[in-house]
Amino acid sequence: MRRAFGKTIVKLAEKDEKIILISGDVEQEMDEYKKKFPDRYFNVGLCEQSMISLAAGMAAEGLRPYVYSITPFLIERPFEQIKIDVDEQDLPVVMIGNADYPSHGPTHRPLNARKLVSIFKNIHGYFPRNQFETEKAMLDSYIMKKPAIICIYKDGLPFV
Amino acid sequence: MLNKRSKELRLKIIELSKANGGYHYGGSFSCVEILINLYDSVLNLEHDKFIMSKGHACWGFYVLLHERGYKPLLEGHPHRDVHNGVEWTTGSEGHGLPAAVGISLARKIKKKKGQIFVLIGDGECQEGTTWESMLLASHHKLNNLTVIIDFNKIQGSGFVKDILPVDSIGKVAETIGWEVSEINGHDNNEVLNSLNAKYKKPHLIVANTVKGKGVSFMENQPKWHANWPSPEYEKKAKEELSK
Repeated sequence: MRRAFGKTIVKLAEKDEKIILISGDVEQEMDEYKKKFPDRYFNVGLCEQSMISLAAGMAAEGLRPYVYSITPFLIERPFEQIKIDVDEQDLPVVMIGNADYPSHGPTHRPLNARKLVSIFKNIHGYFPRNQFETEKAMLDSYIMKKPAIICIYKDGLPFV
Repeated sequence: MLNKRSKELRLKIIELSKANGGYHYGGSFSCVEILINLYDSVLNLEHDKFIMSKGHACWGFYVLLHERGYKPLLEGHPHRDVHNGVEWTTGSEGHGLPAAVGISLARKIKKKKGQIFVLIGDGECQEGTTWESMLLASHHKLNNLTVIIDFNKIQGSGFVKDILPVDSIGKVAETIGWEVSEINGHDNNEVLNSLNAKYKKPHLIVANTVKGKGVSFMENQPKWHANWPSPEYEKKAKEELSK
Protein backbone atom coordinates (compact mmCIF):
# COMPACT_ATOMS: atom_id res chain seq x y z
CA MET A 1 0.00 0.00 0.00
CA ARG A 2 2.92 2.33 0.68
CA ARG A 3 4.16 1.72 -2.86
CA ALA A 4 0.70 2.55 -4.19
CA PHE A 5 0.78 5.77 -2.17
CA GLY A 6 4.25 6.64 -3.52
CA LYS A 7 3.25 5.99 -7.13
CA THR A 8 -0.09 7.77 -6.92
CA ILE A 9 1.26 10.93 -5.27
CA VAL A 10 3.73 11.23 -8.17
CA LYS A 11 0.91 10.73 -10.66
CA LEU A 12 -1.16 13.44 -8.99
CA ALA A 13 1.76 15.85 -8.71
CA GLU A 14 2.54 15.44 -12.41
CA LYS A 15 -1.01 16.48 -13.19
CA ASP A 16 -1.42 19.28 -10.68
CA GLU A 17 1.33 21.63 -9.56
CA LYS A 18 -0.68 22.56 -6.49
CA ILE A 19 0.08 19.17 -4.92
CA ILE A 20 2.46 19.49 -1.98
CA LEU A 21 3.82 16.53 0.00
CA ILE A 22 4.56 17.13 3.67
CA SER A 23 6.17 14.53 5.87
CA GLY A 24 6.70 14.39 9.60
CA ASP A 25 10.12 12.82 9.19
CA VAL A 26 8.63 9.58 7.90
CA GLU A 27 9.89 9.16 4.35
CA GLN A 28 8.40 6.02 2.92
CA GLU A 29 8.18 5.44 -0.82
CA MET A 30 8.88 9.11 -1.49
CA ASP A 31 12.16 8.89 -3.41
CA GLU A 32 10.58 9.32 -6.82
CA TYR A 33 8.41 12.21 -5.66
CA LYS A 34 11.31 13.95 -3.94
CA LYS A 35 13.46 13.57 -7.04
CA LYS A 36 10.81 14.90 -9.40
CA PHE A 37 9.32 17.63 -7.19
CA PRO A 38 11.96 18.80 -4.71
CA ASP A 39 10.32 22.22 -4.43
CA ARG A 40 6.99 20.71 -3.50
CA TYR A 41 8.25 18.44 -0.75
CA PHE A 42 8.62 19.48 2.89
CA ASN A 43 9.91 17.31 5.67
CA VAL A 44 8.85 19.47 8.60
CA GLY A 45 10.63 17.37 11.18
CA LEU A 46 9.06 16.30 14.43
CA CYS A 47 6.40 18.99 14.62
CA GLU A 48 3.28 16.89 14.23
CA GLN A 49 0.93 19.55 15.60
CA SER A 50 2.28 22.46 13.58
CA MET A 51 2.49 20.16 10.56
CA ILE A 52 -1.32 19.88 10.45
CA SER A 53 -1.95 23.62 10.97
CA LEU A 54 0.72 24.44 8.38
CA ALA A 55 -0.92 22.10 5.86
CA ALA A 56 -4.29 23.71 6.57
CA GLY A 57 -2.71 27.13 5.97
CA MET A 58 -1.41 25.92 2.62
CA ALA A 59 -4.86 24.56 1.72
CA ALA A 60 -6.38 27.95 2.59
CA GLU A 61 -4.03 29.45 0.00
CA GLY A 62 -5.32 27.07 -2.67
CA LEU A 63 -2.61 24.40 -2.54
CA ARG A 64 -3.41 20.68 -2.16
CA PRO A 65 -1.32 19.39 0.74
CA TYR A 66 -0.87 15.66 1.36
CA VAL A 67 0.52 14.98 4.83
CA TYR A 68 2.24 11.68 5.60
CA SER A 69 3.16 10.16 8.93
CA ILE A 70 2.67 7.11 11.12
CA THR A 71 -1.04 6.84 11.98
CA PRO A 72 -0.87 7.56 15.76
CA PHE A 73 1.47 10.51 15.15
CA LEU A 74 -0.81 11.73 12.38
CA ILE A 75 -4.20 11.52 14.12
CA GLU A 76 -3.75 11.22 17.86
CA ARG A 77 -0.94 13.65 18.63
CA PRO A 78 -2.39 16.61 16.67
CA PHE A 79 -6.03 15.73 17.33
CA GLU A 80 -7.09 19.31 18.10
CA GLN A 81 -5.23 20.68 15.07
CA ILE A 82 -7.23 18.25 12.93
CA LYS A 83 -10.44 19.25 14.70
CA ILE A 84 -10.01 23.04 14.39
CA ASP A 85 -7.68 23.75 11.51
CA VAL A 86 -8.82 21.06 9.10
CA ASP A 87 -12.26 19.71 10.03
CA GLU A 88 -13.95 22.81 11.45
CA GLN A 89 -12.68 24.97 8.58
CA ASP A 90 -13.36 22.24 6.02
CA LEU A 91 -10.00 22.67 4.28
CA PRO A 92 -8.86 20.06 1.74
CA VAL A 93 -5.91 18.56 3.58
CA VAL A 94 -5.35 14.86 2.88
CA MET A 95 -3.64 13.00 5.72
CA ILE A 96 -2.11 9.61 5.04
CA GLY A 97 -1.27 7.47 8.03
CA ASN A 98 0.73 4.30 7.91
CA ALA A 99 0.36 1.69 10.64
CA ASP A 100 2.86 -1.03 9.85
CA TYR A 101 4.23 -1.51 13.33
CA PRO A 102 2.28 -4.16 15.22
CA SER A 103 5.39 -5.24 17.15
CA HIS A 104 6.78 -1.76 17.90
CA GLY A 105 4.95 -1.15 21.13
CA PRO A 106 2.03 1.06 22.17
CA THR A 107 3.46 4.35 20.85
CA HIS A 108 3.35 3.08 17.26
CA ARG A 109 -0.05 1.38 17.46
CA PRO A 110 -3.03 3.59 16.68
CA LEU A 111 -6.23 3.51 18.68
CA ASN A 112 -9.20 2.56 16.58
CA ALA A 113 -8.60 4.93 13.63
CA ARG A 114 -12.02 4.18 12.15
CA LYS A 115 -13.74 5.37 15.33
CA LEU A 116 -11.53 8.45 15.63
CA VAL A 117 -12.07 9.50 12.02
CA SER A 118 -15.84 8.96 12.31
CA ILE A 119 -16.09 11.72 14.95
CA PHE A 120 -15.22 14.53 12.55
CA LYS A 121 -17.85 16.56 10.72
CA ASN A 122 -16.20 17.04 7.33
CA ILE A 123 -13.28 14.64 7.13
CA HIS A 124 -13.79 11.61 4.95
CA GLY A 125 -12.10 8.43 6.14
CA TYR A 126 -10.59 5.90 3.72
CA PHE A 127 -9.52 2.46 4.93
CA PRO A 128 -8.11 0.72 1.86
CA ARG A 129 -7.46 -3.02 2.10
CA ASN A 130 -4.93 -3.28 -0.73
CA GLN A 131 -2.85 -1.29 -3.20
CA PHE A 132 -5.71 -0.82 -5.64
CA GLU A 133 -7.97 0.64 -2.99
CA THR A 134 -5.09 2.81 -1.78
CA GLU A 135 -4.67 4.28 -5.25
CA LYS A 136 -8.42 4.79 -5.50
CA ALA A 137 -8.53 6.52 -2.10
CA MET A 138 -5.73 8.87 -3.17
CA LEU A 139 -7.47 9.70 -6.45
CA ASP A 140 -10.90 10.06 -4.80
CA SER A 141 -9.57 12.40 -2.14
CA TYR A 142 -7.99 14.53 -4.86
CA ILE A 143 -11.16 14.73 -6.93
CA MET A 144 -13.42 15.36 -3.93
CA LYS A 145 -11.26 18.29 -2.73
CA LYS A 146 -12.40 17.65 0.83
CA PRO A 147 -10.42 16.94 3.99
CA ALA A 148 -9.58 13.26 4.21
CA ILE A 149 -7.68 10.71 6.26
CA ILE A 150 -6.35 7.62 4.50
CA CYS A 151 -5.18 4.81 6.77
CA ILE A 152 -2.82 2.32 5.17
CA TYR A 153 -0.80 -0.66 6.38
CA LYS A 154 1.36 -3.41 4.96
CA ASP A 155 -0.90 -5.82 3.09
CA GLY A 156 1.89 -8.32 2.37
CA LEU A 157 1.03 -8.61 -1.31
CA PRO A 158 3.53 -8.01 -4.14
CA PHE A 159 3.16 -4.58 -5.71
CA VAL A 160 1.55 -4.66 -9.15
CA MET B 1 -2.05 59.38 26.93
CA LEU B 2 -4.36 57.51 24.64
CA ASN B 3 -5.69 59.44 21.68
CA LYS B 4 -9.34 59.81 20.73
CA ARG B 5 -9.34 56.89 18.31
CA SER B 6 -7.84 54.58 20.94
CA LYS B 7 -10.38 55.59 23.56
CA GLU B 8 -13.32 55.33 21.18
CA LEU B 9 -12.30 51.88 20.07
CA ARG B 10 -12.16 50.74 23.69
CA LEU B 11 -15.64 52.17 24.26
CA LYS B 12 -16.92 50.28 21.22
CA ILE B 13 -15.28 47.11 22.55
CA ILE B 14 -17.33 47.44 25.74
CA GLU B 15 -20.54 48.00 23.78
CA LEU B 16 -20.04 45.20 21.28
CA SER B 17 -18.77 42.60 23.71
CA LYS B 18 -21.47 43.35 26.27
CA ALA B 19 -24.19 42.93 23.67
CA ASN B 20 -22.75 39.59 22.56
CA GLY B 21 -21.74 37.93 25.79
CA GLY B 22 -18.01 38.56 25.58
CA TYR B 23 -15.91 39.58 28.53
CA HIS B 24 -12.16 39.39 27.86
CA TYR B 25 -11.49 43.08 28.46
CA GLY B 26 -7.89 42.87 29.72
CA GLY B 27 -6.45 41.29 26.58
CA SER B 28 -8.81 43.17 24.26
CA PHE B 29 -7.59 46.51 25.63
CA SER B 30 -3.88 45.63 25.61
CA CYS B 31 -3.81 45.11 21.83
CA VAL B 32 -5.93 48.07 20.69
CA GLU B 33 -3.07 50.20 19.33
CA ILE B 34 -1.58 47.21 17.51
CA LEU B 35 -4.91 46.50 15.82
CA ILE B 36 -5.66 50.14 15.02
CA ASN B 37 -2.30 50.63 13.31
CA LEU B 38 -2.64 47.35 11.43
CA TYR B 39 -6.11 48.09 10.09
CA ASP B 40 -5.96 51.88 9.70
CA SER B 41 -2.48 52.14 8.21
CA VAL B 42 -0.68 48.90 7.38
CA LEU B 43 -2.86 46.12 6.03
CA ASN B 44 -3.57 46.03 2.33
CA LEU B 45 -6.59 43.76 2.50
CA GLU B 46 -6.15 42.76 -1.13
CA HIS B 47 -2.74 41.18 -0.57
CA ASP B 48 -2.01 40.97 3.13
CA LYS B 49 -3.56 38.73 5.73
CA PHE B 50 -4.06 39.10 9.44
CA ILE B 51 -4.70 36.24 11.85
CA MET B 52 -6.00 37.04 15.31
CA SER B 53 -4.39 34.11 17.05
CA LYS B 54 -5.20 35.36 20.55
CA GLY B 55 -8.84 34.75 19.76
CA HIS B 56 -10.24 35.59 23.20
CA ALA B 57 -9.30 39.25 22.64
CA CYS B 58 -11.44 39.41 19.49
CA TRP B 59 -13.65 42.39 20.26
CA GLY B 60 -11.43 45.18 18.97
CA PHE B 61 -10.78 43.05 15.90
CA TYR B 62 -14.54 42.71 15.34
CA VAL B 63 -15.08 46.45 15.77
CA LEU B 64 -12.41 47.21 13.14
CA LEU B 65 -13.95 44.68 10.76
CA HIS B 66 -17.40 46.23 11.29
CA GLU B 67 -16.01 49.65 10.47
CA ARG B 68 -14.94 48.20 7.12
CA GLY B 69 -18.36 46.77 6.33
CA TYR B 70 -17.63 43.18 7.31
CA LYS B 71 -20.07 41.23 9.42
CA PRO B 72 -18.18 38.50 11.25
CA LEU B 73 -19.99 36.11 13.54
CA LEU B 74 -19.85 37.78 16.95
CA GLU B 75 -18.89 34.84 19.10
CA GLY B 76 -16.45 34.92 21.98
CA HIS B 77 -13.72 33.51 19.73
CA PRO B 78 -13.34 34.09 15.97
CA HIS B 79 -14.73 31.65 13.43
CA ARG B 80 -13.07 31.52 10.02
CA ASP B 81 -15.10 33.47 7.48
CA VAL B 82 -12.80 34.90 4.82
CA HIS B 83 -15.57 36.91 3.18
CA ASN B 84 -15.98 38.77 6.46
CA GLY B 85 -12.31 39.30 7.22
CA VAL B 86 -11.75 36.40 9.62
CA GLU B 87 -8.90 34.32 8.22
CA TRP B 88 -8.68 31.61 10.87
CA THR B 89 -10.68 29.93 13.61
CA THR B 90 -8.88 30.67 16.86
CA GLY B 91 -9.45 30.62 20.59
CA SER B 92 -7.56 27.52 21.53
CA GLU B 93 -4.09 29.00 21.73
CA GLY B 94 -1.26 28.14 19.38
CA HIS B 95 -3.20 27.60 16.15
CA GLY B 96 -2.82 30.92 14.35
CA LEU B 97 0.96 30.97 14.11
CA PRO B 98 1.53 27.54 12.51
CA ALA B 99 -1.35 28.28 10.14
CA ALA B 100 0.32 31.56 9.22
CA VAL B 101 3.56 29.67 8.60
CA GLY B 102 1.65 27.46 6.15
CA ILE B 103 0.10 30.49 4.44
CA SER B 104 3.46 32.28 4.21
CA LEU B 105 5.15 29.17 2.85
CA ALA B 106 2.35 28.69 0.30
CA ARG B 107 2.85 32.30 -0.84
CA LYS B 108 6.57 31.62 -1.29
CA ILE B 109 5.80 28.53 -3.37
CA LYS B 110 3.24 30.39 -5.47
CA LYS B 111 5.42 33.52 -5.63
CA LYS B 112 2.42 35.51 -4.43
CA LYS B 113 2.97 38.86 -2.77
CA GLY B 114 1.61 40.08 0.55
CA GLN B 115 2.63 40.08 4.18
CA ILE B 116 1.08 37.69 6.71
CA PHE B 117 0.56 39.24 10.17
CA VAL B 118 -0.27 37.22 13.27
CA LEU B 119 -1.08 38.54 16.72
CA ILE B 120 -0.34 36.13 19.55
CA GLY B 121 -0.45 36.51 23.32
CA ASP B 122 2.42 36.06 25.74
CA GLY B 123 0.56 33.22 27.46
CA GLU B 124 0.28 31.69 24.00
CA CYS B 125 4.07 31.61 23.84
CA GLN B 126 3.92 28.70 26.27
CA GLU B 127 2.34 26.52 23.57
CA GLY B 128 4.69 24.06 21.90
CA THR B 129 3.39 25.02 18.46
CA THR B 130 4.72 28.57 18.97
CA TRP B 131 8.26 27.24 19.25
CA GLU B 132 7.79 24.66 16.47
CA SER B 133 6.53 27.44 14.20
CA MET B 134 9.44 29.71 15.04
CA LEU B 135 11.85 26.99 13.94
CA LEU B 136 9.89 26.33 10.76
CA ALA B 137 9.57 30.00 9.80
CA SER B 138 13.27 30.77 10.08
CA HIS B 139 14.32 27.51 8.42
CA HIS B 140 12.13 28.35 5.42
CA LYS B 141 13.18 32.03 5.46
CA LEU B 142 9.62 33.33 5.65
CA ASN B 143 10.30 37.05 5.47
CA ASN B 144 6.65 37.52 4.47
CA LEU B 145 5.66 36.69 8.06
CA THR B 146 5.33 39.25 10.86
CA VAL B 147 4.42 38.00 14.32
CA ILE B 148 3.38 40.43 17.02
CA ILE B 149 3.35 39.33 20.65
CA ASP B 150 0.93 41.30 22.81
CA PHE B 151 3.26 41.05 25.79
CA ASN B 152 0.85 42.14 28.53
CA LYS B 153 2.47 39.94 31.22
CA ILE B 154 -0.80 38.40 32.43
CA GLN B 155 -2.55 35.17 31.45
CA GLY B 156 -5.75 33.42 32.51
CA SER B 157 -4.90 32.73 36.12
CA GLY B 158 -2.19 35.23 36.99
CA PHE B 159 1.14 36.77 36.01
CA VAL B 160 3.06 34.98 33.25
CA LYS B 161 6.32 35.36 35.19
CA ASP B 162 4.87 33.36 38.10
CA ILE B 163 3.22 30.65 35.99
CA LEU B 164 5.72 29.95 33.22
CA PRO B 165 7.90 32.88 32.08
CA VAL B 166 8.43 33.37 28.35
CA ASP B 167 10.72 36.40 28.42
CA SER B 168 13.41 34.47 26.56
CA ILE B 169 11.34 34.25 23.38
CA GLY B 170 12.91 37.32 21.74
CA LYS B 171 16.44 36.09 22.39
CA VAL B 172 15.63 32.60 21.14
CA ALA B 173 14.00 34.00 18.01
CA GLU B 174 17.03 36.14 17.29
CA THR B 175 19.37 33.19 17.82
CA ILE B 176 17.50 30.98 15.35
CA GLY B 177 17.31 33.56 12.60
CA TRP B 178 14.45 35.97 13.20
CA GLU B 179 14.58 39.74 13.12
CA VAL B 180 13.33 40.87 16.52
CA SER B 181 12.00 44.30 17.54
CA GLU B 182 10.98 45.25 21.03
CA ILE B 183 8.55 48.14 21.24
CA ASN B 184 6.04 49.92 23.44
CA GLY B 185 2.80 48.42 22.13
CA HIS B 186 0.77 51.52 23.04
CA ASP B 187 3.03 54.01 21.23
CA ASN B 188 1.51 54.50 17.80
CA ASN B 189 4.79 55.56 16.16
CA GLU B 190 6.70 52.57 17.46
CA VAL B 191 3.88 50.19 16.53
CA LEU B 192 3.49 51.62 13.04
CA ASN B 193 7.21 51.68 12.26
CA SER B 194 7.73 48.11 13.38
CA LEU B 195 4.70 46.82 11.47
CA ASN B 196 5.89 48.53 8.29
CA ALA B 197 9.47 47.29 8.59
CA LYS B 198 10.67 44.86 5.90
CA TYR B 199 13.46 42.39 6.53
CA LYS B 200 15.06 39.41 4.87
CA LYS B 201 13.99 37.23 7.80
CA PRO B 202 10.70 36.55 9.57
CA HIS B 203 9.95 39.42 11.92
CA LEU B 204 8.98 39.08 15.57
CA ILE B 205 7.67 42.19 17.30
CA VAL B 206 7.67 41.94 21.08
CA ALA B 207 5.12 44.61 21.96
CA ASN B 208 5.26 45.51 25.63
CA THR B 209 1.71 46.32 26.66
CA VAL B 210 -0.43 46.78 29.74
CA LYS B 211 -3.32 44.40 30.28
CA GLY B 212 -6.54 46.38 30.61
CA LYS B 213 -4.84 49.52 29.20
CA GLY B 214 -7.00 52.63 29.33
CA VAL B 215 -9.18 51.82 32.33
CA SER B 216 -7.37 52.51 35.62
CA PHE B 217 -8.93 49.75 37.70
CA MET B 218 -8.41 47.13 34.98
CA GLU B 219 -4.77 47.95 34.25
CA ASN B 220 -2.34 45.20 35.20
CA GLN B 221 -5.01 43.32 37.19
CA PRO B 222 -5.17 39.58 36.47
CA LYS B 223 -8.86 39.39 37.38
CA TRP B 224 -9.70 41.53 34.36
CA HIS B 225 -8.41 38.86 32.00
CA ALA B 226 -11.97 37.58 31.93
CA ASN B 227 -14.31 39.41 34.23
CA TRP B 228 -17.83 40.58 33.53
CA PRO B 229 -18.12 44.21 34.69
CA SER B 230 -21.01 45.06 36.96
CA PRO B 231 -23.09 48.06 35.77
CA GLU B 232 -21.18 50.21 38.25
CA TYR B 233 -17.77 49.18 36.86
CA GLU B 234 -19.01 49.48 33.31
CA LYS B 235 -20.13 53.05 33.98
CA LYS B 236 -16.79 53.89 35.59
CA ALA B 237 -14.86 52.41 32.66
CA LYS B 238 -16.93 54.35 30.14
CA GLU B 239 -16.48 57.58 32.08
CA GLU B 240 -12.69 57.17 32.09
CA LEU B 241 -12.64 56.42 28.37
CA SER B 242 -14.90 59.39 27.57
CA LYS B 243 -12.63 61.98 29.20
